[in-house]
Amino acid sequence: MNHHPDLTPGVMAGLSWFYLLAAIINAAAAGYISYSELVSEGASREGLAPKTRKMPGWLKNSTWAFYLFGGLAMLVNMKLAFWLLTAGSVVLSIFSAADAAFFAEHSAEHGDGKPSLDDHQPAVGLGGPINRAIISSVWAMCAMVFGIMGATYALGAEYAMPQVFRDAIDSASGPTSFFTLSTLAFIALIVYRRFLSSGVVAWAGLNLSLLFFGLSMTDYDFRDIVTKPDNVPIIGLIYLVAYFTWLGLRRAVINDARMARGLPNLEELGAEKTLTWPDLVYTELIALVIGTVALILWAIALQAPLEQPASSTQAPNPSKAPWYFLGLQEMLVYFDPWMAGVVLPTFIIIGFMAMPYIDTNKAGNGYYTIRQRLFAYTTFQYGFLVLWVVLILLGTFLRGPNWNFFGPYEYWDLHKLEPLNNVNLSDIFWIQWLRQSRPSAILLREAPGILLTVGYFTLLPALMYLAFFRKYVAEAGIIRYSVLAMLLLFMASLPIKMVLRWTINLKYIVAIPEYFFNI
Amino acid sequence: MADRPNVKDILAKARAGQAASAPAGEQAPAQASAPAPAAPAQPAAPVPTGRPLTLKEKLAAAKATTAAAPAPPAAPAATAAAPAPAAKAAPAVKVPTPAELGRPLTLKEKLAAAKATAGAAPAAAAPAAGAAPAAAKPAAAARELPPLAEMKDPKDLAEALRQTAAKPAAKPAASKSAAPAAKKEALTLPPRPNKNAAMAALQGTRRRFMIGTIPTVAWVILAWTTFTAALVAFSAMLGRFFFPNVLAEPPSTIKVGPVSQFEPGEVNERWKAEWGFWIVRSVYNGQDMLYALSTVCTHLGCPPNWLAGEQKFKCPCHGSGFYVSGVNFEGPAPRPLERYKLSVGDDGQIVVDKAQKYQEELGQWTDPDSFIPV
Repeated sequence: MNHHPDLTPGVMAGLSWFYLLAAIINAAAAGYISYSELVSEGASREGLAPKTRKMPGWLKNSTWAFYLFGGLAMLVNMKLAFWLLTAGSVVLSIFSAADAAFFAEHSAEHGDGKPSLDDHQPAVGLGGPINRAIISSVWAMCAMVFGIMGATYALGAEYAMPQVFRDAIDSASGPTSFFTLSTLAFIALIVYRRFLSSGVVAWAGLNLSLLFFGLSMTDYDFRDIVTKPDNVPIIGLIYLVAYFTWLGLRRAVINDARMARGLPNLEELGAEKTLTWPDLVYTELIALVIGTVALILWAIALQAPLEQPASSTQAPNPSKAPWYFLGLQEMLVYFDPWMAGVVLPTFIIIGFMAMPYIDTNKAGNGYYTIRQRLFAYTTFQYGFLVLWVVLILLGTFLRGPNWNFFGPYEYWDLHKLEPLNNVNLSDIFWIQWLRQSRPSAILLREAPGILLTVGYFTLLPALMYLAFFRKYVAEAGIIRYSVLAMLLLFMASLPIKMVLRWTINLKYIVAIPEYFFNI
Repeated sequence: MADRPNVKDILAKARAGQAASAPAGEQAPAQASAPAPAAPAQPAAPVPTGRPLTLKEKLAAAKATTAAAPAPPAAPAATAAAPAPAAKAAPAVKVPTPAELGRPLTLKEKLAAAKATAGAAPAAAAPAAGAAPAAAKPAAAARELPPLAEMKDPKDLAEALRQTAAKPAAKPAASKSAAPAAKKEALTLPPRPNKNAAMAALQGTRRRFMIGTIPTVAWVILAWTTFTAALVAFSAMLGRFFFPNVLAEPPSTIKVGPVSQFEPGEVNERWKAEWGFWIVRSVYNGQDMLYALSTVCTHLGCPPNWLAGEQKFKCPCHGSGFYVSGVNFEGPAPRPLERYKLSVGDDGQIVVDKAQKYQEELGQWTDPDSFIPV
């Protein structure tokens, strides 16, 4: 169904520059690991001999020369600029890795075994020091690979993501697998947070994502969706959310490890107060200027996407909400409008307002921690990352015409057929199980669903109390626990309803369309 | 004055938790007190430094003025004062801070300190003959706040201002513990207004007000009544707004042609864009019939599209799907599409009336007006 060429000269030029950027940041990473003083958050410099690793002057000068002339050449000849910048990254990465190996050898032979600032000082809780020689060579290797990929595109060689790979991803992706995998990834994020908060792992993840993104851009359908001016910010959102989640996670891991050892946490190490003027106001001013410039450049480069005039009888297909409401729109697929559009959003707001009152845990005030606030952290992050951000991504990239689900490399076929036949719980109960027609009395007809809903909101809080919340109820009292339980159950109702829709095609648990009441 | 600290040093000190203007602040009292003996007649403007006054210096000057003003008898005596006592007065106000004591100051000490400061400051600026020596000795022993010019902490400043604001309670405590001599002469309070007289005057006005008008309760009742009446009137106006006299709406009926015009199994989209309905000819419940389906999705009101290939109406917003009969079968739509009223006019043309709706879940599709049998 693919009617468009995957690769065009413009795409190849863009990809060559994309890979060049990836090569540059990896060369910089190799140089950083090789030459810099690596003292992690909260690690002490005390009693350490000063560092002897230094970037050779000729390397520094030649790298800057390549980059400077490369940058200037952009004004004249893009090809020349490309090759100059590539050469600069190659030089930097090769000699960084070589020097890192040399430093390792040198200190093994001549070092007196005393700790010095030449060694990596890891943060508490993030494992031992990294082997700078190996890590530097790995990033140098990544820089070379990206550089070669960019160079081959620049030389006109065509290669795209293997079709087998694309088909595999397409066939594996569906709302069920996408949502389930996201939830599993979230659980892994919490469980393996110590491993994930290492800088090396994070950088490897960034490289993998860049590779995946670059290869995916060779697919016409992927490119078509991703480069829509509407959707470009969502790509930025992925990286922003990932980075800040990682940053908070890392500091929390370090703090947890430090506090377990009786050390002051990172926030206690820093200054307790800072000056409004100039420290805060300068930062704000700089952020303001950069933000304004970026927005202006962005608005010039990517025109605002205007669609056809609004009409009450014609809707664009697919008809998408603004990106920040795509999570709500996805909710609307599983719920009646008054639930997904009114009740649940209201509960989100009420929940935020109730947070200070139902939270009895006084720990974690003014510093990052996960261990001391595991319940609060996971609950909030599940709601934010999985039930909000992931649903935005799903709505942006994976929902196509007729609100069908499309794989990332799938052609947006207007006539894609997804055989569905949604049924209400009353149909399942009376017709499929009891093999009789549904009773005409509404309350009797919907009795199974009503009982189920009432049980969900009464029995489950009791069970949750017995299983998890005894201590909390003793601390906070029954009223606050009831509020907490209600909020949790409303939050859980979304994934539950999603799973029910996917597994048994359940439309509504209680369906009384006669009175516009559907749950 | 020559080596004023630059901004960098001030910031560095501020970040390190020290007073930003410590060097400048130390110079200030010297300037404030030194010229005073030379110009005793002008105790209020003692800082001829060739630069604008700092806020602290201004405050110190103001203090000196207010404290000195009510004590004119001290002024002539000041001329007799030697420069030496004035010089001594400055060290006298180097009071121990809470940090030096190792404990917070007691209330008594704070009061004494404030009193002593108020006494010492005018003494330094316009050294009264009696006050200066007295302040030099006992005040040195007393625990007090630093003089205004040397204050580094805004808290001290606030405290001093608060305590020197002529609180009657402060007087006995202060005179007991610190610098009694300084107190009596340097700090003369302005005469207080007669309390009883003031009260009497106040009550007089109030009484006159009460006598001349309606009681206050009546005012409150009147105000609330007016407010409520206004609210009711406004609500009524708002309500009336929803029922205009003339409603410029398009006619709700339209002729769509004779019955014979529609093919079996046809979904005619001609009236979708302007009128918002499809004319469908299809077999429903074993009967071939014509009906008009509304193009409003029963989930959230988007207009679904007719997909002839799949023989279904499909909504682009949340994926609700409807059979050609209008019955919902996929996605979140909770009920079937609505039908409009159909009738055959005198000329054999079908008339669709959008004013009348028929909903399947209410059993209205059996109504003979909801379809035309073919």
